[in-house]
Amino acid sequence: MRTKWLIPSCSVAVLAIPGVVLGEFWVKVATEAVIMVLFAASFSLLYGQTGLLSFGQGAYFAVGAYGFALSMTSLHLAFPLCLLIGIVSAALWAWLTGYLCVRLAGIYFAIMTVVVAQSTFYVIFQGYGITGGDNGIQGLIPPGALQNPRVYYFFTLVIVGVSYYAYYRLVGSPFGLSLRSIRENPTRARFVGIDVRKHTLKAFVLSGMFAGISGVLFAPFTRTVVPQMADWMASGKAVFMGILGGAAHLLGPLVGASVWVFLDAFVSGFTVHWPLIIGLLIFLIVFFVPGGLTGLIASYAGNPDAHDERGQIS
Amino acid sequence: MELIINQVFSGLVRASLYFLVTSGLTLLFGVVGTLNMAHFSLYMIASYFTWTFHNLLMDYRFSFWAAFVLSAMTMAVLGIVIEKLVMRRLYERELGEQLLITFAMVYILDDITLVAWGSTPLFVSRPDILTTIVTVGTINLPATDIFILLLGLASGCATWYLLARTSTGRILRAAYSYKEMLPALGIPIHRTYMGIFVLSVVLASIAGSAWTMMGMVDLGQAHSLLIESFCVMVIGGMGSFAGTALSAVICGLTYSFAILYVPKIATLLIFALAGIILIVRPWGLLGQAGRLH
Repeated sequence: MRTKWLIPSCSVAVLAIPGVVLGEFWVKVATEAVIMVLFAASFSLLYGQTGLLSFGQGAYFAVGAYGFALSMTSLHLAFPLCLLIGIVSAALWAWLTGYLCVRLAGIYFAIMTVVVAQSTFYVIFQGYGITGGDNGIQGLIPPGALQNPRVYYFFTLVIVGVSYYAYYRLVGSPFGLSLRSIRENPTRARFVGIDVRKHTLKAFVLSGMFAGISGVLFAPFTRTVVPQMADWMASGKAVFMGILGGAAHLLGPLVGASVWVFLDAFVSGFTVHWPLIIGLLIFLIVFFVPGGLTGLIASYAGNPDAHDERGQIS
Repeated sequence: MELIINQVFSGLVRASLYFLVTSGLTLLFGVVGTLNMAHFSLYMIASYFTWTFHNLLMDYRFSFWAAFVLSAMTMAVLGIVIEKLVMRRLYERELGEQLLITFAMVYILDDITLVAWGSTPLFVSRPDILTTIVTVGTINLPATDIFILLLGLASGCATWYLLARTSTGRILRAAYSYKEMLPALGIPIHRTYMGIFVLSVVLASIAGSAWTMMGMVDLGQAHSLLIESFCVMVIGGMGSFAGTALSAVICGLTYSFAILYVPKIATLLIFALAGIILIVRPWGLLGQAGRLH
């Protein structure tokens, strides 16, 4: 029991340190990294655990952010309620669209999610009256103490920490196990009595919810929302972060998102060619480190399971 | 009536562009089984090459046509290089990795394009013969549009001829239906794969050069077309050449009429069409059921 709580409490303590010691710029970077951890987790739940390559996580990120932004600027609701509405709307949108997506597998699933994400982008982009079109919505200032970047860092850390704990429990639960069995062999999963479509839909909605949570945290962080949050390049970011860390490993999203965001901030300090660098990095990861960074660490730590943790569709 | 004819015509022109940019993608997918997301970056780079060659040869009368051919040749060479360096290592890999690598290539190629040509949109001036307007009865048709339409038809027919009537085409069709058998018959499959990849790049190059007649050459041109082109591919049936031609026409006409009556959701309509097809008939209009998953 004691060791069970040791690792989570240690990691929370370690993650709290940046909020105290770093300068303001790097605290903001750390906040973004923490938010992106959930975005990467939303991808990893589908790809790493269930074996479904989703190229449309940006849609739920954006719907979460817009749900938050609209309930704040148009309905003038209380801040926590806005957060909740954002998360719920992302989950609802994931449920509606997931109902269509989970009927497909492999490449068709991937394309369907792209189509859904791009449709979401167009709806937001064209809905000038409500969403402000390509101007987006500005002035999403969080209330009171949360305006302080350091306080906001701890705020996101708590919410993301709780959500990540949920992700951890989810992956370890019998439900997570059935998702992995679907990843390994959908036909056999069906034979042992797993309702594949129902399970993948559940995973889809949960992953949409994780993306939504990162979306609602991101909107008051940057204080604006723009339709580009929903397009396929944004969804690609979730894919890259997930793969970078290793999609199948429990800590993959954490490592992937942190490395991505900090590397982005660091590299952008002296060159504008971040896309080139990240592109080459993905080449290296896919060709030489198939399990992502966590897979690499695990293989050096001599973990025999490391080779089973490759995040691949079977 | 005139309005309808005009809309049909502009729809067909758009269909021609859809077809040019999608046919290479769908051929590669059909024969090799790799979905190349960087196809559109190559299409964009072809537009930039057309601009460059056009500028270099500005003083000559046939600069535009020369640029057209030269950029296709340059793109073919680039295609060989990319095939040897990257694609060759991808064919046997899993779908997810293929998508990731080609998506990473989008990042890399876009950034290289930005370095090489800058971010200002570029404009290619058309030769005089293409700026005229052809009048048939009471209908005015821009020569550019007629040319693009003919270009789509010509490359469609040429590719069809290649596939259906030549021995190379026979090998490609064999690869489409039973990949494992080819090496067993002593056919160098890597050369076949390289050929099909270069063909897809050349088709992308023709599309890219055609685009320089329709609009500005800029970094966004690939992204705006990518999803629509995916939809065209899905509707026709992934890997089906004839299906792509059919669905390009359907999507082109849908777009040109939608832009007239419901301009806001014109693109969305194509997405919706693709969504419906994916759910009702994932293998597309003319694709074969059960070929994939």
